[in-house]
Amino acid sequence: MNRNALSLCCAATIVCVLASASVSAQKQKREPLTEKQQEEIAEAGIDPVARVDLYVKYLNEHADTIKGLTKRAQSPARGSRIEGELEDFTALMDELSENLDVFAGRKADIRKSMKPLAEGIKQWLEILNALPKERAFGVALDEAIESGNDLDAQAKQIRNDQDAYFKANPGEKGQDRYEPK
Amino acid sequence: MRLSIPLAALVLLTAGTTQLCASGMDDKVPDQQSVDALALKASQAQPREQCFLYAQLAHEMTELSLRQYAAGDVEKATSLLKQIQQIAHKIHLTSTDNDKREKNAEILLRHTAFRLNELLHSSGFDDRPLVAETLAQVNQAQSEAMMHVFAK
Repeated sequence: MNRNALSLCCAATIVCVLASASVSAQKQKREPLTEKQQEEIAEAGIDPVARVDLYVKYLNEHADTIKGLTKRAQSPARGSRIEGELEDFTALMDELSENLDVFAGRKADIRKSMKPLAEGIKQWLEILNALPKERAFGVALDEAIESGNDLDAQAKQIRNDQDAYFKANPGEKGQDRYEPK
Repeated sequence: MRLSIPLAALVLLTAGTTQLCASGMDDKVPDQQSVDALALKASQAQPREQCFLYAQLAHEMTELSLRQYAAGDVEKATSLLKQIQQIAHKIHLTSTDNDKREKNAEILLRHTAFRLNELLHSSGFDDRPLVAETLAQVNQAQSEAMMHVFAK
């Protein structure tokens, strides 16, 4: 086998491995939003404030569910359910973080949503930090706390940046994005 | 030298595929169902993906509008053109600086403008102002997308 043929074989193997990894990753992906919630997100469309408010609402609902589940007696089913709920919670916080990143980059005025968000994050972290350390959902809990802390830092930064920006540019209050003059 | 022949073949193959994809833009004739499905997908998508999806929607709506004009359903065709104007505004609101998907959105919008220009020349006198207005808005969205591609 010459060198070119060997290189081609290696490249083909790498492509196959990557493709199968991608397929298995897709299989494991959870959908944290219900059908009704997806419809509500679609109605919010490109409205930054409506979108952030909806994510805060869904995260509050998930946090209540997690809190309720921890009161139940320990069982494998309970552990598995909490693990799934925590994974959904982390996925939703990460989605919200991505939304915030884009809206802040566009200089969309989302200050109205930042107070309920800050209150929500405080409550979510309290619930997460109060959860018992159990093997069944330990990894999922650590990831949720990490995402929560990241979201907290990001939200604080955006709140400060937006307060300063709209104070300096009062004509841009309420805008959906920055418009070059 | 031995390596340069397969490399040249690979480059030619890639160029050929890209060419096929570009010419294939007009081949796929969307129907109202696929347009509705894409509209829903765009509204639900993450903000970073919305610009490209709305550009895709504007493109599919344009193709469908051309098809409706050809079939003589002017009312449906003009209704689609009015919707494309709203989509062009959404593209403006959702475009994001320095994003790789922005380049694909820009290519789609350029092709959409090309097709609208074709429609402008083939449409009836009464419909031309609406087609021209839609074309102007798509052109503006395309220019903005291009600016975002090169933004640092």
